[in-house]
Amino acid sequence: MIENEIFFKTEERENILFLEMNAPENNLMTDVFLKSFVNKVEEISRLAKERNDIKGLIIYGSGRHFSVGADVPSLISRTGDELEEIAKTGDIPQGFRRQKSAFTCLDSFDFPVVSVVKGFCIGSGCEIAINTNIRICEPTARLGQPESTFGILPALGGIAQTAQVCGLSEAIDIVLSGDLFNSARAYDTGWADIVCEKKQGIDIAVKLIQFIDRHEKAFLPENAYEFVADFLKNGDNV
Amino acid sequence: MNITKKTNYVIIDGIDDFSFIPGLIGELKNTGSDEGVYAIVFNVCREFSLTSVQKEKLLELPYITVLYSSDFSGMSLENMMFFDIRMSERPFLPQSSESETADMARFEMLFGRKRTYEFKNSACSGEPSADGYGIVKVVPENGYEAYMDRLFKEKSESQTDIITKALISFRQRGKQACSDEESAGFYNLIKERAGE
Repeated sequence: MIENEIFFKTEERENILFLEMNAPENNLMTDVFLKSFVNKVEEISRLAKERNDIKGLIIYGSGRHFSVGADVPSLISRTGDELEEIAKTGDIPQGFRRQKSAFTCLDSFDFPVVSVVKGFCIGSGCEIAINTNIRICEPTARLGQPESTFGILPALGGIAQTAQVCGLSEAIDIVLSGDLFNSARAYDTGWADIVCEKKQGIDIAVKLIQFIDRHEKAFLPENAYEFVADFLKNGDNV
Repeated sequence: MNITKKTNYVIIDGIDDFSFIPGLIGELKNTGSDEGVYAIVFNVCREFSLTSVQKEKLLELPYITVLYSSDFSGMSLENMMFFDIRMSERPFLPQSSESETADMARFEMLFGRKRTYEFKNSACSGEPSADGYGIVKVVPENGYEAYMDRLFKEKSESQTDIITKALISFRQRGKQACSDEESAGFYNLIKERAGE
């Protein structure tokens, strides 16, 4: 529980939730990080069910990077242990299902969930962002799903959600090549909804969420980009 | 029609029409061109039409499908959208009228939400996309070879097979099926590594 509190900081300001990732080594996603992330998202899910006045959630990294992704050797070691469970049940392990659900539910709240990305946002870090409704990239963002280059694949929505957001044509390139790409390419492919100046991402996320909250249309995850387009055209000071 | 086998993919050129599509899988097996193949590049040099059977069979193909032409000008966007990827030496700008007739569900499946929104609104806004909504990837002459090599680099056969299956399942069965394939595929790869 102590690591949970150190790795993540949650705040609420004017009904907007902020989830700051603050783990060592640029938010390296160790087993403890992932368990804590699952707990945090489940906590937010419960809050979302209890309250109808939450306007949005912003997820970001505290330092120079969003997240460098999973600690691959420990991931492979842990999932190797799960093979016994698979052999017994013939099914995907429950722990993985719970973890995946914490990622994929980020696209299903009644309010917008916005990732603000700077620095490295790769592997499972990239999967956090792609599973949210909206992504704002600062100029230093370096994104990608390089899992295919070290013997695995992105399994927390990195294929399915990338295909939904960017389309199958780009998902084939992003996932198979495993190449990293910058914020300009992210914008062209639709991975990034907004590209902004350095250190402006959170301010813009707040303004966007407030814009959506005031909008006459109700927010739906499948229409998230329409709100972004409207915001870019009509939003305040953007 | 000629089939040339490369590492990880085949190239089909000399295409007069797509009547060979229903028998393509059998043809690849008979010529031994299906082993270790995960993608097909269809090299066309002129406008083509597709029957409804050919369209259905193209969507069923268990390979990543790439449509290449040195120039897609004048070709039908609708037909081009029955392939997973399109490549050319020249950019392709669809007619704004096509935003009113195109199959938007297929467009969104291929190009994502942002580009679909922009394309749908292009007729009203009068502002065409500078990159043609990403419909065609611009590559150097015959640059599809370098592109395909980049896609398949640094991967084992089983890894390529598993990732390709997950991607194709998005085209064939939608997002949830793709999500299920990525989960199962991940553990299949871990199982392989454990057996090393």
